[in-house]
Amino acid sequence: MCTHRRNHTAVFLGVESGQRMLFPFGLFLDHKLGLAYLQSIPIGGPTYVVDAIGDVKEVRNLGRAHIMPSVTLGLGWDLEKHGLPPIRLFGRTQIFWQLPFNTTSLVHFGVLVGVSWRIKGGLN
Amino acid sequence: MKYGIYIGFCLCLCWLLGSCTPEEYKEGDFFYLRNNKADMPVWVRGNIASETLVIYIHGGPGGTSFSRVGLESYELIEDHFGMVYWEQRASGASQGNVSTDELEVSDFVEDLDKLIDLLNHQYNSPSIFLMGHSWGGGLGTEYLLDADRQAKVSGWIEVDGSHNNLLGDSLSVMWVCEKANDFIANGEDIDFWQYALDWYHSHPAILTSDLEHYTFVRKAGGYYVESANSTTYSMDFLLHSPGSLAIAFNALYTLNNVDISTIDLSNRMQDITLPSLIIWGEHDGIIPVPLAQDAYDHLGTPASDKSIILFDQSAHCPQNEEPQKFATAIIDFVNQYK
Repeated sequence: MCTHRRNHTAVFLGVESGQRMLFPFGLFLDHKLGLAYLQSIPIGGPTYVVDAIGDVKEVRNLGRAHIMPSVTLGLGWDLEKHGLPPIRLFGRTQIFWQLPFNTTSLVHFGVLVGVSWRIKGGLN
Repeated sequence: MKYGIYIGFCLCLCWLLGSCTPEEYKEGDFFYLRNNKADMPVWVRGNIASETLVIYIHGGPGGTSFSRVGLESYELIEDHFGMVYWEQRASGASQGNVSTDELEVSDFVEDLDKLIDLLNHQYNSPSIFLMGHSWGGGLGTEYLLDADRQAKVSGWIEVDGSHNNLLGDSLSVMWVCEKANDFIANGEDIDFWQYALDWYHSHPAILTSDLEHYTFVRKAGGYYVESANSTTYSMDFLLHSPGSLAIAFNALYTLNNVDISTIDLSNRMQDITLPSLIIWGEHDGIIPVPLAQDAYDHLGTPASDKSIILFDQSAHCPQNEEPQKFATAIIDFVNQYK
């Protein structure tokens, strides 16, 4: 989910697949391709429609459905390599497309910063 | 060292999460007008209690009104009246799925009419003025040609507007060629300006989507006398304002799909009898200043209720280049006819 004040909130659900390269001293690099369903909802105020005779009606704006392909590149640090709990810090940049947008596609850029905890026996 | 990494990481997160939205982007009323596959944001700011609204019809086609929010001239106007910043369909921060078939001038006119009905509903029938800049001048003129629509408006302000693109484009080409010859004669960028002259020779009729022409005009100073006066898109604007990267996308999409090069409304403007103010930058290279007199001559408004104000330090955007003079002109006009 991401939100842009007085612009839109986007809720998305999808899958990603990629590769991660781990270095012995803790650094890792990864890249992923993704495909998601995205619902983009205008936010910041009510939405109105005006009919042919000028009557105004407020309507619920549930936004529009979109397809969201994405490419993500990232790097991070595995603290477990330094004797700490199995925590990874990561930063990723993502480019994704919202389509259709005015019958073509609108490109977005994203930055993701996070922490992950590898559960015992989990995959790298 | 171990905990230093944690602390540094947490500080970065706090910085990212703590960067807050400037107050100016939270002010005013904000809502959407939905029409024919477009969700168009409308931002009403300033002195709404004055019961007088000035609708800013932005340029383009495919431009944005939100980038002008915070401009000194508009803030001065906001002290007196409500300013309405409306993002047109497939323009600025508008959202939706508008196809090229839904980008006719009549679609924009219909949107504007619905916007005025919406504002009348929301603000208890205020006095409404239209202020069309550049392409917005053409759109506003087209809107006012209908008597029923004209009756909804108290006054018309055209700012370097495109009510006659056939004439405007030919004057603009002449303006650039004259500048190009001057630059060549002075030994400035000779190769570039010779290329410009050759380009015009091979493109005797220019289209709205001919980006080369805009480049030549910009480089010759036809948009801004001082480039420092131009509207810029800061990171602050992109991250915190209601604007977004869609502004750039919509600009290209709409500019490439709405051809306004054949618009010629001069001979129909006698049907417009509203009080009218014509504002023009004397150094405008994209819609040169003779168009100001053309508008004045063709408007059906009685001479006592129409006037021209020229801005001698401005090119295409007097609201940017001479903000106080611009604001004073608008405030005086609106106060006279509201």
